[in-house]
Amino acid sequence: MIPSPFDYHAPKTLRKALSLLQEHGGDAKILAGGHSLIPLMKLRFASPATLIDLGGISGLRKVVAGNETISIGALATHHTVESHRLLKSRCGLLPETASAIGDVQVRNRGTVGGSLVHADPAADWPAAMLALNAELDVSGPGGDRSVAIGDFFEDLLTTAIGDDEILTRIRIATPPAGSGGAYVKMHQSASGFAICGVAAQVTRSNGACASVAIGVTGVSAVAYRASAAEAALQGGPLNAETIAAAAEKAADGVDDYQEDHHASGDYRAHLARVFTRQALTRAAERAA
Amino acid sequence: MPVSKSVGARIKRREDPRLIQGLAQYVDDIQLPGTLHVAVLRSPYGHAHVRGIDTSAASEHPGVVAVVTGDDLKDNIGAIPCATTDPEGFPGIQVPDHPVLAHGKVRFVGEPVAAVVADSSYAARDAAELIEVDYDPLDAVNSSEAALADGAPLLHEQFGSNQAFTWAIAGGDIDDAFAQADRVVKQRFNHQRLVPNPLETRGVVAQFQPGDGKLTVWSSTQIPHLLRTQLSVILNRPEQLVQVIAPEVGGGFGCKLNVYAEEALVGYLAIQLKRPVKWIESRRENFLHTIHGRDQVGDVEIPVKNDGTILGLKYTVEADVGAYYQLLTPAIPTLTGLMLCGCYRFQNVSMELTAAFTNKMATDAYRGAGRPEATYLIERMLDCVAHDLDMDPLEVRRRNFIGKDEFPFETGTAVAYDSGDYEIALNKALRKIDYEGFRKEQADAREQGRYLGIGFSTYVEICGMGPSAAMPAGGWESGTVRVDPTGKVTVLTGVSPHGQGQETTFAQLIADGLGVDIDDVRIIHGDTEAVQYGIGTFGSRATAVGGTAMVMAMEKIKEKAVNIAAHLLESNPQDIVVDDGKYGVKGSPDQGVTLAEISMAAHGGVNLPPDTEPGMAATHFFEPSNFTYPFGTHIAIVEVDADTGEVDVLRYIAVDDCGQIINPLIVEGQIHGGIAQGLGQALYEEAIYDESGQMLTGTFMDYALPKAHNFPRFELDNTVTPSPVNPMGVKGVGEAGTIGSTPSIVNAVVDALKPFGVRHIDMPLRPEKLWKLMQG
Amino acid sequence: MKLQGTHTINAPRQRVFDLLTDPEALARCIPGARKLELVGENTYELEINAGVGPIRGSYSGTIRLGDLDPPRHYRMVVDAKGKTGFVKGEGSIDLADEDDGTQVSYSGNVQLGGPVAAVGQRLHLSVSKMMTRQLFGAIEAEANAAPGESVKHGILRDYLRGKKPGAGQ
Repeated sequence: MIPSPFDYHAPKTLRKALSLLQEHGGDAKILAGGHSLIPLMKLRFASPATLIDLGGISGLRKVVAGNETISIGALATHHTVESHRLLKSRCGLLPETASAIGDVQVRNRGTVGGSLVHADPAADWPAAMLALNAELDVSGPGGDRSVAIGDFFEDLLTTAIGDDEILTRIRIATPPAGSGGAYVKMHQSASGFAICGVAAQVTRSNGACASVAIGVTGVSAVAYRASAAEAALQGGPLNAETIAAAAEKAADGVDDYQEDHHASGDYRAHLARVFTRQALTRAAERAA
Repeated sequence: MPVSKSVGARIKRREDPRLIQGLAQYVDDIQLPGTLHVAVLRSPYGHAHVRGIDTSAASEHPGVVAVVTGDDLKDNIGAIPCATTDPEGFPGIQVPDHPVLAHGKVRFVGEPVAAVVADSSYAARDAAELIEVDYDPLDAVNSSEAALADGAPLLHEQFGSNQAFTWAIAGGDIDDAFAQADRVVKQRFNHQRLVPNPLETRGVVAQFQPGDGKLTVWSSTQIPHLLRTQLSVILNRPEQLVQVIAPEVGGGFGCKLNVYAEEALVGYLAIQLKRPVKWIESRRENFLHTIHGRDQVGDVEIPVKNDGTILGLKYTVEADVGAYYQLLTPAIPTLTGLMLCGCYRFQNVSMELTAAFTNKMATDAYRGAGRPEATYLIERMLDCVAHDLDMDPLEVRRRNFIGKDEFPFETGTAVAYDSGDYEIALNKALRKIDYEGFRKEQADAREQGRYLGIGFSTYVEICGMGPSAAMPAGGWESGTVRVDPTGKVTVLTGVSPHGQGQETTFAQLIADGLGVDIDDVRIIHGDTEAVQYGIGTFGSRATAVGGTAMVMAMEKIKEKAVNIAAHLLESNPQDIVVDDGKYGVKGSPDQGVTLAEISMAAHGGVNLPPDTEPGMAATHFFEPSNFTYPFGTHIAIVEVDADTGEVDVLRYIAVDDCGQIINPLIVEGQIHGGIAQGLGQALYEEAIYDESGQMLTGTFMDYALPKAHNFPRFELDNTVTPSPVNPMGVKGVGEAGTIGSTPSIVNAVVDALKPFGVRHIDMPLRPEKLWKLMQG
Repeated sequence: MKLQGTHTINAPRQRVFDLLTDPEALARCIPGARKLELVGENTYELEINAGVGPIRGSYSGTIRLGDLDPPRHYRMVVDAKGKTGFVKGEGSIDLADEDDGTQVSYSGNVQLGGPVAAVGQRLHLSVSKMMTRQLFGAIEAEANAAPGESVKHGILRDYLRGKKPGAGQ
């Protein structure tokens, strides 16, 4: 790998990282697991003058699966989430999504926060985080703030995080009893990214659908909530027919498809419908 | 383990400990003091005039030692060679000049335009970005069809068209076969372009010693000797002053069976600058400027009788060979022609090939090299025949197989299959499945909306490349066996293994033959200054030809050892037997002498039989009388997901016959890798260029190599039909898996989708393509 | 790659046409434009720092306007190159009155070359559309600015926030 020249900083504290970020402004890039940024630097599509490596900052890797809140440090690796015992029982959608990412090597180094901030519209985490209504904790020069995942992805590879801010933590309300989640994905045969990935989280109450959230990645230029499909199920009965009918709406409103020789936009929309049906079915079973 | 049981044993590869511990020395591990680094600036255009190149900013960049362009080289350096341009073989062949650095015009994305030499690879790369090239873009052609169309933009204007060459082969009487036929089965096939993708990209280091004028070139190559000869011509250096070393080579798959611009460029720069120069190919450069494979599209017609008897085959095909020829570009599709008849008896055959220049990288040898195309189209056609006649695909195959008593069998394409028993391999493979049961399961599954399919490929291929008469640059091989005074054995082989494990298999042959421990045998290859001239490793020839040369050299040594042993033991040579590492007299085994004692005597030069030369070394050159023809049966069982079109390979059975087996573990490894690459073509891989000549699949983000999790556990077995072509009876197994596997997968998927009226699908079988077919 | 679409700009047609063909306005509105200078009849030299997320590249080249039929129609030819590749585009822009402003229809071909063409094909169309959205968003902001008011195109973010696809709107 022969990237353009860059300065490298490995701050030990978040405060130091933020001040470096302020000092270097738009010329700096944050380095987490490096699985998105380094390949871009190798191709010289990204040539940041300064890299600020967060790897030396303690406390950003922690994953806590509490009774009420699940907290994932931005630097937690996919593998940490995949192999977290308590997460499996408290929020199975997270480890299931993690296990669908890349391969073992990628999961061992790539981070949840890095993936979210890169905002590749075919990455897996956006779907799961949308389906879990995640809150993202961000630190900046003016202090800390939270961004709802629904406001986070603004456009292709573009998020609500400012140039001078750092994502520190992802918080998720621990799903209640009677809730289940599932992630269904088709891997793009070369990159392993999602040609389509659908994450669904369903909560049952007396046989009805008390709440449902569906995140879709790989289809549109921005990962999205399949709101029309959710609306069709919300509050109503939860069975094969209602799920199938709702899933038909999984790509409603999408007008900016990802398209390439691997898959056309129409096919991705079709997969969104199929996988929404499958993910809802599985999530509903797990919610039982 | 008794040494005499070495051949046939599952011995782990002796190469692997150094490879998996990172102790092997590849080209990039060659670190010479004062080394300069090269970055190559490449065309971003598929087709353009080069109006000017401004290198001034690059030259001034810190660390830069030199910047060169095509103008600097064109009077000082020869062209990239092609060994197969004989107009008698290729009527109408047009041979374009193939400069090391483009001058005047660029004809594909990735073509080298300029080179920067600097004191670090970083400085070189940074400076290369500062070179300003004034391109005047031209329309491009990205397929043979576009290239051969009226009014197509011309790559090489002086030829008046983009037609590169034609080639034809005919046997029997194809017109008569059509006249006799009950019907004609037709299908058009596309063999998509593939990127070989060895684990190690290419790389070159060159060092010039001004004192004696010697140039040493380390290159990741499969053919160090042929490269030495070619470099001496391109660089106009006396060949005795050129040394080529292929150090550890991390795979080639044919793409390093070549002579590349960078090999000449780096050699030239080392001579000019009188300092070591290094260039290591990036993966992106490898995609763009290391040869590609396949890229044929053509129509097949098969005249048949209603009982399934095939009367002949006609193949009218276009080959997209890219912008220039590399070493063997025109020869590759001719191998398709030779193997068109597959395992079948018909004698009437015709192939007419038209090759076209396009704005792409050159095609050349990629694992299988022309034979996968032949096997794919004949094995797919057999299924089309079965489909059209409503017969079982196995019945069609059995009806047309060459019988086991018909060998040697001369095909309609005038090659002589050495030995074979196609039915027995098929039967052995069938015993691993319950075919009738599967058909029932398939029918039941279809009732439930699940789509299972089974595909067969009963292949034969041509390998053991030689004899010389049929080869562009020699088909023989050399081997030298030396025994040191202490009895340790050094073998020097003209072949150049780069992943095939011959440091193990050759040592097994020597250990058994000379009665020494395998650990006492060292195999040396790849250094032209150490090893007698040889041809190299390609075409699954290293063991069949190179191994034979080595064994014959060993036989000379053994004869000498027996003579000396008889002398030392005061016996007759005909009474000497070798047992458990000792050369002893029949009947009194305790009295034997070891090879070390014999060799010590030979090197002492005193206590020798009369008229015996001192020393213990022998060389043999082996010229094979024929190619070898491995064969086998591959069976794939797949399920196609009705919702998504995704293919799940449920079972994969392969029964291969590569003649005698020296090391089953290594044979299985070759088959595993071969199947993986064959399945890669069937399901995933495709090099795509757009209309302007941009390669859209230029990284591993978009070019899909198969991965371990894509496959089930391969179920392998073999039959052994020795080849009469060499004394060991071996055939070769480097390419068989790739050649045999592709059609079995496609046949299985087509079988799965039969309820949707599907008869053929072009590769790669992407899910969307299959899903659309299932929508009717 | 075919690039085609329509975009509604909440401003009168003549005003939109003027802005779309005014080099100074374009210099402000083309995402990442650093320089846009008239160098010949309807021909402008362009320097742009184009980027999406972490992917950045400097491109320089020309924009040529033709077939000018104000305030209805014109053609645009773009030819730019940079270290990571080149972009060539040609298309026509048509303006029509619409209830709440002006409907801009664009239709053309974009050709990418060099390294940028070989990577992330799935995003090429989306990137083009994103930049088009940004351009028209900025033009709208310019059109609606009070006379003399300088427009801060940071408002793009707010604009884009309201335009997420698939939100079931």
